[in-house]
Amino acid sequence: MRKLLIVDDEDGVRSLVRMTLESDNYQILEATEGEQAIEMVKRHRPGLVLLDVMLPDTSGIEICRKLKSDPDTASTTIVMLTAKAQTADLEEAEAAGADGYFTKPFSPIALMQRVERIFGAAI
Amino acid sequence: MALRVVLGALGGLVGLVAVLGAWQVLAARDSQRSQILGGELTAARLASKTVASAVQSRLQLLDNLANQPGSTSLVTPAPTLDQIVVELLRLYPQFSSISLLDAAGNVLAAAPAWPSTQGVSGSRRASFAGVLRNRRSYVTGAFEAPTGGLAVTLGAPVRDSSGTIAGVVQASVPVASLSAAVGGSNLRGGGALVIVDQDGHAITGPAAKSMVSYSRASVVALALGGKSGTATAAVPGFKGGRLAAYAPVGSIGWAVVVENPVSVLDGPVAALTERLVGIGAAVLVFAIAAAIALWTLLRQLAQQRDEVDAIFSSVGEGVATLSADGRVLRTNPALDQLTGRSGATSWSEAFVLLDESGEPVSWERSVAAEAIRRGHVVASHGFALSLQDAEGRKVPVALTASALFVDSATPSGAVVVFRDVSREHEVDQLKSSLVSTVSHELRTPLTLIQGFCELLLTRTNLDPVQSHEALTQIHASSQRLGRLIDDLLSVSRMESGRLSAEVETIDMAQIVSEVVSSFAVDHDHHFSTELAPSMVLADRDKVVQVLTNLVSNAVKYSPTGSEVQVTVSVAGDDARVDVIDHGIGMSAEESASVFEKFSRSNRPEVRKVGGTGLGLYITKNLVELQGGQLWMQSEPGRGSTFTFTLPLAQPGSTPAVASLQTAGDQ
Repeated sequence: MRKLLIVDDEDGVRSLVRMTLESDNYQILEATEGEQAIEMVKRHRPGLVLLDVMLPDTSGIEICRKLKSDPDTASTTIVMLTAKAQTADLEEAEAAGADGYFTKPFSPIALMQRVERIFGAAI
Repeated sequence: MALRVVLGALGGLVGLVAVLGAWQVLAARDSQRSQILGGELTAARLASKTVASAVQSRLQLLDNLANQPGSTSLVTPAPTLDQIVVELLRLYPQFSSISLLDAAGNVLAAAPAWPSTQGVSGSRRASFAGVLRNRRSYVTGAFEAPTGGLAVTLGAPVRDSSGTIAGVVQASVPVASLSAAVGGSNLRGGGALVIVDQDGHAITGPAAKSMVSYSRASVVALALGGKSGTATAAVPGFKGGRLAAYAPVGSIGWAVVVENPVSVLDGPVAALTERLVGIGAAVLVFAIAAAIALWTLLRQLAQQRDEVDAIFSSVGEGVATLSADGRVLRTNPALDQLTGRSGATSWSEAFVLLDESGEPVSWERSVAAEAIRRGHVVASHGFALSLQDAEGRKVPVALTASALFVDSATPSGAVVVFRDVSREHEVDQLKSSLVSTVSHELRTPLTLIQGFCELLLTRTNLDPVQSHEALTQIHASSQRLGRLIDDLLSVSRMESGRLSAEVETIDMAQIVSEVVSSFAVDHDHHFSTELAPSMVLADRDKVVQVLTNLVSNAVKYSPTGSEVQVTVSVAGDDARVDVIDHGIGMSAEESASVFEKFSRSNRPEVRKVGGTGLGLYITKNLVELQGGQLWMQSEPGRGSTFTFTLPLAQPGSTPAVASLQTAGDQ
């Protein structure tokens, strides 16, 4: 079963991702804060992390950098989820080692296809 | 300074004119004086000649009379002698009397008839004695004639055939007839011609009214001694004294004196002096007028310069003037304050101006140099420049440089205005932050609406629970969008002064109770209230909005299950409402800006909650609109208390609904 962690402080966004991907193929894990996300990555080893940039405690980009710089979690695929579409943010995300990004608002169908592509490639 | 120089120059000019004038006057005075003195002496000499000839002609006549043949018989007593004398007097009207005396001095005959009782008069005796003494004809000094006026007596000896003096013929001559001869002498104004006899008596002129000694004794002594000349004498009653020209009168032993006030010497000179004084006065008046005009002009110039200086110094923006080659000529106090420096003359020393990349902007790259090159106004763009002061602080600045033209078609330099744009920069950043915040706040609900709609439309296999969840999210998101729009509109209305409150008497305790109850329905906090009965004058909807916002904040920023307390009390003329939470609280720094528009803490626990940073700004405006006040107290980790007041309705009065309006912001 494919494990996916969605990190977002907005209940609605987590609910949307869950409803989009929830099936027999995916196990959806949820986190609302950065530190909690790191902890869950280490414990559950998700294949993909959908990481919001504007998190309450720290920036999602900072969490991304931490995950990618830790050998234990560096192999985790990380896709940034952001409402900010400024190039500066995207460059920053790339520099932090993110594997891709998705801009809000997003299409759930497109998200699902993207996620399936990522897992398909990983397998 | 210049004024003093000009006044000094004018003074010097006036002085020079005065010295030249005085020199002219003195030179003219010397030549005029010698001319006048010569003239006076000539007049005296002419007069003396005239007098001498007048006397001599009469004496000659008498001498001839005395010495014609047979005249000796005249001095022999005879009954017809009186008749002869009368006849002679008739023939010679020049004489006022004629008399014959014998060698012993007895009067033999006289015409007009001489009263015998009077004997021989003094003048006749003097004449007789003079003739005998000199053994020739003689002229007496003047005496007062019995008929009035002064007269002199001429005497001539009558000799017998052996030459012995046998008697004397005497004749009186009125002095008036003598002085008439010189009366035509043209004397200067105030002058007098005086004939002085051998006794020192003035016999003509104003001094001859009585038989007194002529006062110019020293002069007369010289003239009577046969000398002629001029002299000045101090005379009481004559200011400056008298000028006397004197000359002896032939052999008679008299003198002629031409007297004038000393001032005649100065007459022409005085005229010259007057003219010079006139010119001097005109020069002086001109000089004074010029000095006044100049002084006024200089004062106006000084005043204008002072005004320009004052404007330069008082301008609130930094101003510098620069030469065409970039030397700093002058900076105003506002600029010195901005740079923290003063007195530097080179561009790079005076202004540490940094561009966007932090590189110093050289004079050549500056807007000032560009303004001079192009000959007009050049301004910097946006917030590209910052000025670093002496202590290393950077202030964003905007520069506007204007080419300066002074009496020339090519710029002689530039004026640069340095404007501190810290506030604008802050506003600009706030605007960016607002756009970012608002776009984030818009994007999140929009993401949910679009996403759940897409799922509802494409996923036909959603179960009822999922469909309900999707619709609930869509509904909540649209409400969230609605609130955001409401907030933005409220702010816009407040700032344009279009927000109004419909004030009426309402029950504060009841409203608080209702709002708190509505929160208690779907929140897990523990709500408690303490409600003192109070009727306030306020707009019901707006009070609800204020309370909702405050209670909502209390709930948002405090842990689930903690206590949120709302109390209503009466304080003076106001009802006071306290909303107390035991949540995350705020630092002093956060508290300071909590009521500012778009102020949002950067703390994660605040960020987590989300919001536009408009709520408290709107709430405070709403409270103040209704005549109340809103403030807060907080401690990080301990919670916050927001307190507002509203005016109590006066008991017994039922006020009509009143309308209050915001005054408008900025």
